[in-house]
Amino acid sequence: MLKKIPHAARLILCPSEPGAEPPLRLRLSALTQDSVKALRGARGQIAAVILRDGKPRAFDARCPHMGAPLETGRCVSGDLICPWHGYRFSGESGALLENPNHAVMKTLRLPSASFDPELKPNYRLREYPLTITDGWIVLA
Amino acid sequence: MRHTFEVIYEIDCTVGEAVAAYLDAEHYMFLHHSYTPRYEALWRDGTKIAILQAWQAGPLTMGNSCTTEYQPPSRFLNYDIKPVPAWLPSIHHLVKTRTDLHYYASEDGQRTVSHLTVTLDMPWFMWPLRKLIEARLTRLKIEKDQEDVDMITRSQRTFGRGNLSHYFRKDIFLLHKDVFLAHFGPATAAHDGTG
Repeated sequence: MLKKIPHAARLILCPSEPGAEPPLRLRLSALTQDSVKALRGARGQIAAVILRDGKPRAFDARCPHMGAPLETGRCVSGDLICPWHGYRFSGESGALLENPNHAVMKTLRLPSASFDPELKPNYRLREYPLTITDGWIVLA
Repeated sequence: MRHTFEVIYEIDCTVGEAVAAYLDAEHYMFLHHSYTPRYEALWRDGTKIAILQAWQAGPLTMGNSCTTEYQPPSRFLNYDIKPVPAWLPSIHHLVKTRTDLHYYASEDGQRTVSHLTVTLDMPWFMWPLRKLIEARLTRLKIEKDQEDVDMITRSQRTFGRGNLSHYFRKDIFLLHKDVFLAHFGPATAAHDGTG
């Protein structure tokens, strides 16, 4: 949102207000095949929770590429999709599987002194252990 | 007839961060999905790129082509905007739009000024609509920048304010990356905070 600096004729485009904090526990039944839910751990860590092969999995919600909030991403076939750049992370291992821009931006992704299109970042999401009690998921 | 207007505000980041976010084209189709569902480069010539931004309407792909030019270190021009396909009824048949976006440090050096100048060349019968077009383009600019500001702010929390080192990796793509690094790379004053 645009905010005016007091006593100055300047406008600042401020970041959006932060949303509500993710819950400390999550109903297992709230997870569907394609959903991504946010969950907060006791130490304040935020996880993106998905269903993979019918089992809930929790990964660090901060994308290692640019820091995107993965809990606002998508889940496709049990993999986690980053909302900022579309990077696809395995819902099994947390490893980066695919950067969809490889194909889309082929004409621009040319080798140069500072960029090698053949290199693939070795990003891997940290997985958090979960406990499930009475149908509630909690970060262990 | 020519109508020119400016959209000026500050964003809480360094000039290098603002430029990097602009050149990080991989986020256009995802973070800005509602504005740019499809992004395709048609040709490239130095720091000029012709792009197609398109939308799918059933079997029909429609959108705009545009030439975008990076004038280092921190200026971006957009011009030659045409509807695709060419027979598509579009305001771009009547109004020639040119934008000039310049990022520079604010007076106190704490923020970056985003200074957009828009030039609209239009026929006389469109003149009464100029303020309407201005309001629409201004709103669009602010909405898209809001998404970028949220991205930059969160990246700052992850990597530290002004830290661009995550862009320097050889496996990370930026438009015109060699040119960008010549101005904001590890060997420059902009990177060590003295510039």
